[in-house]
Amino acid sequence: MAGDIERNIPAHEETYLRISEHLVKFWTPQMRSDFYKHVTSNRESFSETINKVVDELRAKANA
Amino acid sequence: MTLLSDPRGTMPMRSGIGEADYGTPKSTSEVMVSVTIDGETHVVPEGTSVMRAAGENGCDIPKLCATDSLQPFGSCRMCIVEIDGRRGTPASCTTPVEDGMVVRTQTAKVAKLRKNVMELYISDHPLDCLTCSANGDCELQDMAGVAGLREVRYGMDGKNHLDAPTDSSNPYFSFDESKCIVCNRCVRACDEVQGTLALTIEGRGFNSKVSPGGLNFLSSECVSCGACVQACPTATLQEKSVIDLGMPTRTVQTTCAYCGVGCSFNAELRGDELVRMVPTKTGGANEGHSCVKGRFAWGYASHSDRITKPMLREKITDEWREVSWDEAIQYTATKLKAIQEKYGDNSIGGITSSRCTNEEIFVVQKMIRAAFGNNNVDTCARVCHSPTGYGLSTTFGTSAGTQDFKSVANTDVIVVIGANPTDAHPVFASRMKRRIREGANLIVVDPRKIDLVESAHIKADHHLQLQPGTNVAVINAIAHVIATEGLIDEEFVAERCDPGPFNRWRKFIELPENSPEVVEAQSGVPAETIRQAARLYATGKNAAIYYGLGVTEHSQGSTMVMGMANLAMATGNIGRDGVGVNPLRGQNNVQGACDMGSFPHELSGYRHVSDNAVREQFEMLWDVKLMSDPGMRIPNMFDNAISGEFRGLFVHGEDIAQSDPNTKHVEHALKSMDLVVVQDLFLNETSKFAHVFLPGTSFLEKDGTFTNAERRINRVRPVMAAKNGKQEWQIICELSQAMGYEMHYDNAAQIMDEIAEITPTFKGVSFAMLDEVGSVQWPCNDAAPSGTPIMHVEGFVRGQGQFMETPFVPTEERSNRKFPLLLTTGRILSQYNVGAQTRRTANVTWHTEDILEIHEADAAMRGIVDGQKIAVSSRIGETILTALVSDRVPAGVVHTTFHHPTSGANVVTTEYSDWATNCPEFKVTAVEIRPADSSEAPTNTLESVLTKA
Repeated sequence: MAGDIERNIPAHEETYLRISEHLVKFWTPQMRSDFYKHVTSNRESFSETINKVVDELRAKANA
Repeated sequence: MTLLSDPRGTMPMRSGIGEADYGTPKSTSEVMVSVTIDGETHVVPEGTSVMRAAGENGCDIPKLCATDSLQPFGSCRMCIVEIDGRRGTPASCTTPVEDGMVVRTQTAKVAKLRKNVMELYISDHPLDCLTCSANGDCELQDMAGVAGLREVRYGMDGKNHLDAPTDSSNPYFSFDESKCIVCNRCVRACDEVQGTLALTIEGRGFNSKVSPGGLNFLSSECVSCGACVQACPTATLQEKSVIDLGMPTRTVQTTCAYCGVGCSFNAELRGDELVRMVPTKTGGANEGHSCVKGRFAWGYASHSDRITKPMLREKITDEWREVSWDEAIQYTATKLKAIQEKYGDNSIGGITSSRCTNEEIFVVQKMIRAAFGNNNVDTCARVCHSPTGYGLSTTFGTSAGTQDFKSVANTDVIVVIGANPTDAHPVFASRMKRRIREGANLIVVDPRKIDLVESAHIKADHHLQLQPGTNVAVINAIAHVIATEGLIDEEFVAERCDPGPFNRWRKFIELPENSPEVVEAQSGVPAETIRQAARLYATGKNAAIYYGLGVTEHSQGSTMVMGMANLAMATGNIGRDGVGVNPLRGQNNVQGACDMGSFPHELSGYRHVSDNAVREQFEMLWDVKLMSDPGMRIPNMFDNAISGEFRGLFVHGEDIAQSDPNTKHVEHALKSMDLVVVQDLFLNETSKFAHVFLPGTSFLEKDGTFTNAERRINRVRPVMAAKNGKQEWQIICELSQAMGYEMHYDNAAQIMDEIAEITPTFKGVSFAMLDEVGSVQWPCNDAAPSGTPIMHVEGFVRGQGQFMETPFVPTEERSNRKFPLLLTTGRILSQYNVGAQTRRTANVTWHTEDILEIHEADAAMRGIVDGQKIAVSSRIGETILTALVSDRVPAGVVHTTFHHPTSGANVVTTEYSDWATNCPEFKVTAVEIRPADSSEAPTNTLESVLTKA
């Protein structure tokens, strides 16, 4: 699903912001948590943007 | 109950109890002229007919061929008057008032001529008034009285039409030719109001007769809208219900519960028995018109299938057991609480109904948030217009259509994308057709050759017959032409739109990959057609886009909505009459369901649950702590049910097992839950998996409001007592209380008061206000106390319009060697969605099963002929349908409807969905078709589902 989101948001400097906003706005906490775990344990399977999104959101959630 | 009457009208009211008929349409001129009628001087708008000027001022001129929903015709010669300075006796219906005109409506000469005219009419008319179904409601009868007719000097032995046959082929009305006075009202109604032109006058002189094209009504092109019945001044065209039950004696005004047009009707009753539904002229959405569903297909409310008592069962394989309301409510609450205790607060949730009132929906989502303690609430908009919500709120700042329906009357270029309004929004389609016949241009973007592409007096200027799944490519190509050919409205964009996003969008849209030449290969639409359509849209004075589920039910539904919004902003087609971006909402109250906070991430008025200030307002009003994170969408509920985390579901007025995609997945999810509660009118596909059934109420029993596709809030008033003994909002309150959250209202009006208190766009709304003004379009608040027909007039709701880049990302659902055809789904006129209502009415006359349209080349290749049973298979499943070889679909594309559960159309649709909202991709499924042998039958029975692994 995150991949679909990324593919539909054109790549530029705001892309990761838009993806982050989308996940926070529409995904349940459980979905986000599962997603962070999945990405973190398979980083090379995901784009730089998705990795950046997960790192920042995870940091915010833990803060 | 509201009893309507109009003290101004003294003439008989054929158009409905209490509604005045002034004979000719109202003039819209702002110039006023004076006229003296029978010695009294009046001032009226220029262009007003003498007939109307007289009628509006208390002087009724006799009439037979005139009615104010139709243009004047001047044939009956009853409305003749004398006018100073003019020879003869002109017809008052076709004579416009001139300044200073002096009219005499009652002179000896006029009276004699009228009597002679009536004598001729009556000489060829059955004299069975006392037993005629129109006795007491017949304009011919009344005019005979007004004319003072006492004898018919010609006798009744000459040539006449008294033995002419009756056509009873239509299930809802009959045509008794012996009573016809050939006033042409029905022909003109079919032409001017409905736009189908199914009727004509056959023959000449004495042999003239009304004909549905030489056939009977049922076999003709008649769409049974009832406009002819409504227009008929005699009993010639008469509702069969009136013939059987007698004339109604009182009326209650309410709103249709079918599509998103939201037609206003007078429910006309004898005592407590509903006799007929007559569209009301004062209805803001429909202005006196209707379609076959709202007009005639209301009998389901009293169908024998109605469940009126609560039922329980421990296991879904047990028989249902009728129980008391107390037992049902307590059982449900106890089970839901036990599930939460065992699996957590998030293990239950609910789905609101888009068929129920705003008040009912509001309390359901309130119950889920306050009593269930989570935000696991969603609505059927998930599977239809959720991309509209996402796309329009992102670009414009609010997720609703920008115009009212009347706006199309001022549109010069109409663009219809992924919608089939003649079938799905017929009353609005009639307005649209009228405008097209007046000269507006039409662009249709659809894989199918829908009726709007070419039908009576209608021909699209351009039909972009694109491959399913290529909407975004085509809209980008249209925008590319506009951007690269200098057709952008730079002034509008500079004044009204955010410059940063616009510049990014412009750079993106001008890329060669978005050119028509590249898109032609992707979409199948010739580049030159795209260019011409783009230029037409951009250069038309007022251009408006109307769209439906052919836009939203795609993997890029949200992207496409944003693409259309981009187009409208780029060409300045926003913020005034005649333009806009207009979603044609499918259900009667899907707009309302969204407005009322049915989405898991939004409270009422589209405010995010994480907004602390907003959430605190709700917490204070509701006296409960609310969750600040979004809850589960419907697809999440299904996935989590299968994984064991989501165990209890309250389904309000939705049949998800029939309407949602990938039926096997839905059924697996439902089977996995510990408790499924269905609140509905009838047992349905979803109730096969339910443990509790709570009987609901039909629209005829409800007290509340619906909000239609133009944001119009209309009253729904009870026409009959609730057959289940309770209003639906009362059931929800009792369930909420049993769950431990006190919720009580004395009546539905109080619920609306709470909605208005907490929802800024509804601030000024109340039942009393709606009773006074009829209806209102939100936002209705201090800034717009009379409501808001047109949005974004001075500025966008978000401030500046936001352009969004819309890259074309092809769907992953592709045709291949195994599944070489693309299936798309849709609706037809006589049936409605899953058919729960319409299949229980005489509308089955027109559509007894779902049919698959297949191009002749594809059919020939497979040895398929018309009427043959065929197996339709996708990678998800297989179902059996009947074939119709048709040129409405291009080669490579097939189309079916989903109105009958036995068809199992969603057995084959896939799990793909819109990237932003999870709106299912119903419109693109790769399939193969083969002849089915006679032993094959649909495989979606409960037994077959339960025995599968």
